Amino acid sequence: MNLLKLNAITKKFGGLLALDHVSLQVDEKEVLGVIGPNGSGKTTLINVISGFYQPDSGDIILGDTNITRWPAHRISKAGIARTFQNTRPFLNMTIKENVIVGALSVKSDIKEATEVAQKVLEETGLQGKAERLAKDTSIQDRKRLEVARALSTSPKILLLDEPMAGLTEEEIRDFLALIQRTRERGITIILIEHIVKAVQQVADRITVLDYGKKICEGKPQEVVKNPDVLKAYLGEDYA
Amino acid sequence: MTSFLVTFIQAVINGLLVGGLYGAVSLGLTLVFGVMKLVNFAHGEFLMLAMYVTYWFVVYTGMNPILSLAVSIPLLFTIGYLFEAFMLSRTLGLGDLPQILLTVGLSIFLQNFAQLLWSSNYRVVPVSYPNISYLFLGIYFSLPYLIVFASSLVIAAILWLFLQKTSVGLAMQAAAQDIVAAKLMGINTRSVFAISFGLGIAITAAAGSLLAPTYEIFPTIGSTFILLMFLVVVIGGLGDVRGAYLGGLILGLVVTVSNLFVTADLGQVILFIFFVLVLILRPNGLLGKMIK
Amino acid sequence: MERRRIMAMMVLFAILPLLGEFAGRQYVTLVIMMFFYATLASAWDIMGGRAGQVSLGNAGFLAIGAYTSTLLFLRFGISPWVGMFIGATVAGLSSFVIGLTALRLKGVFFVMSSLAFVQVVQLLLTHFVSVTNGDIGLFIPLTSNPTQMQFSQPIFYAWLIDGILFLAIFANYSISKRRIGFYLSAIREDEDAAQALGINTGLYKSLAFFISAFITGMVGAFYAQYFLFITPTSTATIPLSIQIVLAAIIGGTGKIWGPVFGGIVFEVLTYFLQLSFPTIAGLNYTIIGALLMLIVIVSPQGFLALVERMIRSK
Repeated sequence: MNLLKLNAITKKFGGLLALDHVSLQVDEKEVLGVIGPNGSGKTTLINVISGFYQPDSGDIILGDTNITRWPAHRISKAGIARTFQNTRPFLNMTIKENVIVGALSVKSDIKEATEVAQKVLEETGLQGKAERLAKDTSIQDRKRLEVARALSTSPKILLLDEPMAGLTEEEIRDFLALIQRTRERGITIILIEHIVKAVQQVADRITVLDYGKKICEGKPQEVVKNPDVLKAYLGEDYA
Repeated sequence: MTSFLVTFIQAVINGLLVGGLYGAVSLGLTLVFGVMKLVNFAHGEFLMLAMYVTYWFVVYTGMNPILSLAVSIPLLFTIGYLFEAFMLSRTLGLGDLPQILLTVGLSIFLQNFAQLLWSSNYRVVPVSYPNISYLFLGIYFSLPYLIVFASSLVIAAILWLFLQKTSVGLAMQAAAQDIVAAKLMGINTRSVFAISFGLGIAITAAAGSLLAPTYEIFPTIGSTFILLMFLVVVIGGLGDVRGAYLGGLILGLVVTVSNLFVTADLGQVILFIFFVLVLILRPNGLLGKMIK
Repeated sequence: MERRRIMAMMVLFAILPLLGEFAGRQYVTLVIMMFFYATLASAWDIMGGRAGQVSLGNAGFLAIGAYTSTLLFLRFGISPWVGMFIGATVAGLSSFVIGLTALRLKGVFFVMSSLAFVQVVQLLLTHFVSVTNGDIGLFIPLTSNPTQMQFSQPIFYAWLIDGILFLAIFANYSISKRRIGFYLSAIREDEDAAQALGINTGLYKSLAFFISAFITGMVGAFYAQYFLFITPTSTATIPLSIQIVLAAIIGGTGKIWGPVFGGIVFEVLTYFLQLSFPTIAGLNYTIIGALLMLIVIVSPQGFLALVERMIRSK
């Protein structure tokens, strides 16, 4: 069953064509990886799906609802959560409070929201730093916080925007384990990432973007061998 | 030509002439916002200071007020530069509130300091522009207005050339578009900020000095202008220099044409309604440029 | 714990006017003005400190509250006790005008719109002379009748404004303990991230602004009844708006007690400045302006935070 469907999404910024008739679909409980060289439109894709940008043409269908022109907060309430590539924590609030804000989207009572937040903090390994102000945390913790906050909204779909940039090998492994645990909870994941090796390990399918166009889609083993993909990343000589 | 048509065209001409001035006065404000992403609430006070500089210059030297530019521009540039370098810079990156409060504080300080030094008596510059009007095709072109308009064009043109043709100007544009990229390109953004602020003040100071002979000067005259400047800058698009000049022209037109139909104070209300409409319908300014 | 502190402070505040009464009439006036600024700062802080939206137009709400209540009384004989709430509601509704212009935009537009708002209020109040008497202003006849919100003893005015102050403190406290409090803080910290978590930022900002404007409107009605004379240029002015902001940040924004103490400190400061330099025009505010700049640079979190820091380092 298609949980999320994008039909021919196009997004222009002045003269720049960021997304060119991009279509894709994600099934329930799937992990879809989206890769592509810098500037290929990956982050624009997330911004369009999550409602921060309106596409110039095309639709986005969630289940059987057309959510194309919905504002960001409504899309979040519909069950699509996202993280930000350059982490955006609520700096002057504690880690716990940050996650409570997310939990309040499903539980309007502060006490209940706090319980949900506690659970999420444990799942993401942040419970030890719960009372620390977000501005006093390391970048790795902030990346975890991004995910924790998004998870606390009990989403159906989680959009991860390059969450592993700048992490060490070990940290990447931990993060992939987190993605696996999230997937086991029944959450569908779209993982936008630059580190192809990491995506290969966890994705069921991979979509490749280049200059705003989808140039390839399929199982990880096939995609990484595809000549167009190699050309996009490494240039003509390697095709 | 029917007399209403004549009156209307007269209003349009006057509106454009005055509008050029509104534009020039606001160029500095939009420049500062474009590069530093901050709104200087004390901008009107620097205009006021420039006017006083021109006043005292003429009182002490008796020379043509235009020559006061040689004093007001460097002086106000320096004050602006130093304020940015030593005070404003400390509030950047801490969110909107500190920098708003700092510039508001500066505004209060300057207004009252001016009152302390020079009292709130109205000052009129002793040497003024000759009060002649030229009649052309049934329309009066007032010389003071023409001088002010021509100067506003010159100021705007010089600024535009500076931004486009000098390395400092290009650095400012780069910082305005993408501060991170600018830093990565090796641009010393700290220095660009200080210069931009100083320049923004200097431009407004130039406009102020040129305006001085046509106004009665008093310490809180800046407040009268700051809202006008906000309107111009919002209409033209925050950070858009050409837009600011255009916005000034449009605003000048709105003011003079609405004066044909309603009294002056209601005219102000119409201005604000216009402002509100622009903000709701075209928040990126009438020219609709993308700002983040 | 917090609730007990609030109760304790309110008892203290209730006693204060009595102390003033013993010390001398002018001290009751001082206490009244202290509470006046404390309430306005506290109301402002709901938007400014919590939601992070700086309004420079709150004097406009004060004026709307004052004029609504006064006109209802003078033209229709409606008691200011009722007029106060009607005026507050009108003030609250007028906040949507500013809100509409700034909903989807960066914070600076909100500040500018609020500035334009107070100017427009002043202009409109001055222009419609047949209704508001324009520049001349409105006089409320002295009746000393409590049912008409007038008292023969100043101490009752102090307790009245104290009551409104309590309302403001209570509003701040309730907000901090509920979802709206978390949401407003999130909006202040990062509006986009807040939206990504399902927060309808426009709605919550509007709500906060309404509450802020409502309480400010109530203070406006009080102002009218206390001074018995209102004009557009004594109420809807930018300087008054700025005083409110100053009071809030002196004490420290975003906390329940910050603006309250800020208001008190602000009034005490201006009172003593007035005594020390009575006639040099412009000197007081030159000092205040310089002080504001100093505070922002030295301690952006406000005077109270600075004091806290100093106490801790001892």
